[in-house]
Amino acid sequence: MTQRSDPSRLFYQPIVAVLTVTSLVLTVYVVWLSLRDLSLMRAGRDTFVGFDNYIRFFQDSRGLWALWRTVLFTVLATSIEVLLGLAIVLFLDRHFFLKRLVRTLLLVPIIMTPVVVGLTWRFIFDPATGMANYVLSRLGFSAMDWLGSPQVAFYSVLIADIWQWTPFVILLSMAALDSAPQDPMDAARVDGAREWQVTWYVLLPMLRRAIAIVALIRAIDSIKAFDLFYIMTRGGPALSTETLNYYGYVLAFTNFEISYSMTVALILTVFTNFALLAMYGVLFPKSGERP
Amino acid sequence: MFSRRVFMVTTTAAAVLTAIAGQAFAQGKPFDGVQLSVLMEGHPTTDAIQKLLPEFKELTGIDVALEVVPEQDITAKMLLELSSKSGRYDVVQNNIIYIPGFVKNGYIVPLDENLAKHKEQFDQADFVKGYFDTNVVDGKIYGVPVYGESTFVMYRKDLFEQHGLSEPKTFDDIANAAKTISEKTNKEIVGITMRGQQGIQGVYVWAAYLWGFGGSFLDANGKSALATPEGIASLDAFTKVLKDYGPVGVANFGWEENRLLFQQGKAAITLDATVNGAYNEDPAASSVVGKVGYAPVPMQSKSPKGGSSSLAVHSLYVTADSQNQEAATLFSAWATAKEQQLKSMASDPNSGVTSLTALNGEEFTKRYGAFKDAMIAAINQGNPQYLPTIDQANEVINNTGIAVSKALAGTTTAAEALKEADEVNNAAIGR
Amino acid sequence: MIRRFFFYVALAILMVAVLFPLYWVVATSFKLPRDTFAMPPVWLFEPTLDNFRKVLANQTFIRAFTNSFLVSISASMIAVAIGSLAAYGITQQDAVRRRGQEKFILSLRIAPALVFVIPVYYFAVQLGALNKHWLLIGAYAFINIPFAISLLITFFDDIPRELRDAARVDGAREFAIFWRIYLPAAKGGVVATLILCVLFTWNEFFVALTLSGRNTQTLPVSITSFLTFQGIEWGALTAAATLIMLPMLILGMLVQGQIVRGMTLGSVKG
Repeated sequence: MTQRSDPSRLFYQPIVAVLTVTSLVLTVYVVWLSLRDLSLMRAGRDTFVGFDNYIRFFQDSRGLWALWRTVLFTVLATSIEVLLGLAIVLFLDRHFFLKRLVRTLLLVPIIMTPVVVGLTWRFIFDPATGMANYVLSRLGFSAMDWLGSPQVAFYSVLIADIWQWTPFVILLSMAALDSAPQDPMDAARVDGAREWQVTWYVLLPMLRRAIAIVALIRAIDSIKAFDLFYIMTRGGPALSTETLNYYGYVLAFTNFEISYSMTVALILTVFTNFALLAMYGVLFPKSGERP
Repeated sequence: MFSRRVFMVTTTAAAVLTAIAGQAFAQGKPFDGVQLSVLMEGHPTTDAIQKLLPEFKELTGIDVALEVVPEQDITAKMLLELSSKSGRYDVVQNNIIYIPGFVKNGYIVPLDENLAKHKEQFDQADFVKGYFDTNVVDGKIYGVPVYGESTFVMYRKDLFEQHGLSEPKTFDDIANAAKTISEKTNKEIVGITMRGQQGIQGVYVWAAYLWGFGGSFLDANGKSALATPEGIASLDAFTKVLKDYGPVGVANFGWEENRLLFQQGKAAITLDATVNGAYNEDPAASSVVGKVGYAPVPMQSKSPKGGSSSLAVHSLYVTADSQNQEAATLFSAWATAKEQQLKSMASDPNSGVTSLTALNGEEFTKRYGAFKDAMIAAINQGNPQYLPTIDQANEVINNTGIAVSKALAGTTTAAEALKEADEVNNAAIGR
Repeated sequence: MIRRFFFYVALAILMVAVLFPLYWVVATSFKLPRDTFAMPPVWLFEPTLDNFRKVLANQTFIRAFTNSFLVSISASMIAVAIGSLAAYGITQQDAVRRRGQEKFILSLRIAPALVFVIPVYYFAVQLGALNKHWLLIGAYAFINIPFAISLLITFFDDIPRELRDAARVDGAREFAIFWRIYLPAAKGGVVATLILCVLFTWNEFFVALTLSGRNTQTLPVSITSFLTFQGIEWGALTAAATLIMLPMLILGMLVQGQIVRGMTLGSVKG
């Protein structure tokens, strides 16, 4: 313990202590709640039930389907956003007039309030007066029930999410590209490599770290996604857009089963941690590598 | 022995006190400075009351903060506050089906005493008996009815005439008429529109089919019994007619979307709340004024378990953790008094009045004559058990709503959906 | 030549896809009701300020705007103040200790808000705090602090170590180094962090939905009140949406260089 770092530790130790204690207290309280059967409809009459809530979840088809939908949404949203974002980045990777402006405008979907994004897409997807069906009708297709058909609603919400977050992938990759050295690519070109080979074998590997990070962050956020589901479909129709996070919300605020809701939330947290660890392992195979 | 002085002082004091008291009474503001927090549903009655709030303040000195929330959200919101004893609301509004649960959990208080203190606002005899009685539990009054309604079938007389159809008397008639008009107009006019939204919206309308086919929510033992042959048949009929002849997006239709579509003349039939009549006949909002026929909800079963039209009564309740229970009761009585109800009809399309004076008055007949008889008939046949009135009503309705939504979407068959709902409902009831 | 032409066409299509929803919201906010629902959609229309007038006359909306303003700025300032102190402290540590702290901070991001909200809700009910501003400010400050710390760490890392070493040699105390050297040097980063915190808090919905009271409702929550039982009032709704987004769009443009860094907690310099 050197004299030099001592005083600087005081800068962060208090707040980290507060954060730690608060997190600990919250976690303990939530776990405690999940071991009981508290419901607001039977206020004050809760008892200790051990792992019953957890067992209940694994027999709860609604909950398991919600988990599946969460997985499906996360995988689709993250992979489409990353792939589409990458494709667009490569497309835009050249000098062109108004590039600065384009980069600025790409921020718009990210900055828009998610609730407003949901409402806008709801408007666009309106069966009678929305742009989506108008465009379809001009192309000769019949109107689609974007938010009212259980087969389609899930993908409509997915579309809104992709619209909002692909620019994030784009901007991030662009930033990474900016700081990527040109030499390896020029060298490859000099060696006679074709453009697509330069892209595939030299450029993309350099972006690997940036892509990995954005994939990680989008995945975590997709698992927890709530706003769009609440505003666009409320988990319907026929539960087709009910993710696990939304199910937890419904349990707490509609069915008032607080304990079970906390159980679901904890399961979601554990699941997120596993997903995170798994992605870490895949994306950063070298052990000890810091993102 | 009274000295003159004492006498003078005493009488002067008495005179002064009487004068002061007289002033207070003359101003009539016994509750000056009291603030009430009221939670009500979005509905024309609420709009009307909101407009009259300044008058209430003039009269009593009470400041009312009125929060308006959509019907599908209000129960969850209110239960959250009531069960956590947050004291956030003094007065809440909801369907009377929640009264037994609220009383059992001690969320609302009996109003008898406080109502007796304000006879100038509260006149029990003025309320429609059928509405008022649903608010009495164990001989005590727990709520004051603020609007009441039933359901009926609304159809376009002009279109029916054009296509040689007569007033629908059974669900099959309805399906037939919907098919005819949909085909003959090449789907330009939607055959039939009804609420299909997951939750209380869809359940409220589907229940007409349920009871009309001879089904019910609960069996004699209070267990969920939706998946009876009658119940399954009713869900099949409901979903089939909507899938074949209903509008695009019907799976998301709540009260407002449904009403608007019919009001704009784009649908030939709808089955919905009697209050829609007021909107249909309002020239400012509707393009089908005078073209609508009103028929009772069909009863297709030979051995029904209950009437097929609803008896939806929404009342104002005073919360147990209100700090101003008397003022809250006064507000409830005032909001439902005959004067206010009469005024509400002038300012908003409020046909759901619960006051006999208003119901039988000239204003009502003038505005709502077109459907008044049908509405009163529906109310008289209304089924007080139309929606389950148990503690877990909220959860049961939501689970049933999911079943309706699944069947409508076709992701499961009606039979599977209802069986699943029964299972989940019984789990909730048993807990 | 042709390739360039196709490039610009494709670029235009991309930009339309990206900007169309925003355009649609803003355009609709200026439309009369008959134009809003017109099918086929009208591109040229008679603009009106009615929707904006209606929204600005709505007390609930004005109050929500004030609330959003108050809560976002207060929570963000608290978060940045505490966060900058903590970030400074952490950047002075050795790598091992640092990594531990950073991992902990990152881990706070994993749990869904639901886990945080329910206990806080009960706590708030006991204290009668549900309609008080400080509840929301405290909650958002708590949520923003880890974010602010992570972000500020990357900005402080940019500052050359020599500056600190030189100051130490001159005998300066830690706080002086922090106050007089690091903060001014990272001024841009601090401002960017502040703006990003404001952006996040302003747009946040779930916590506001559950923890705000009648008087403390923020904009994202109050906009749902336009989804009334009368059906969705699209005119007023889009006007409100435009007003909600406007401040953030302006702020966002100010920190556009830093947003990417902010969103990835600085893992990639943007």
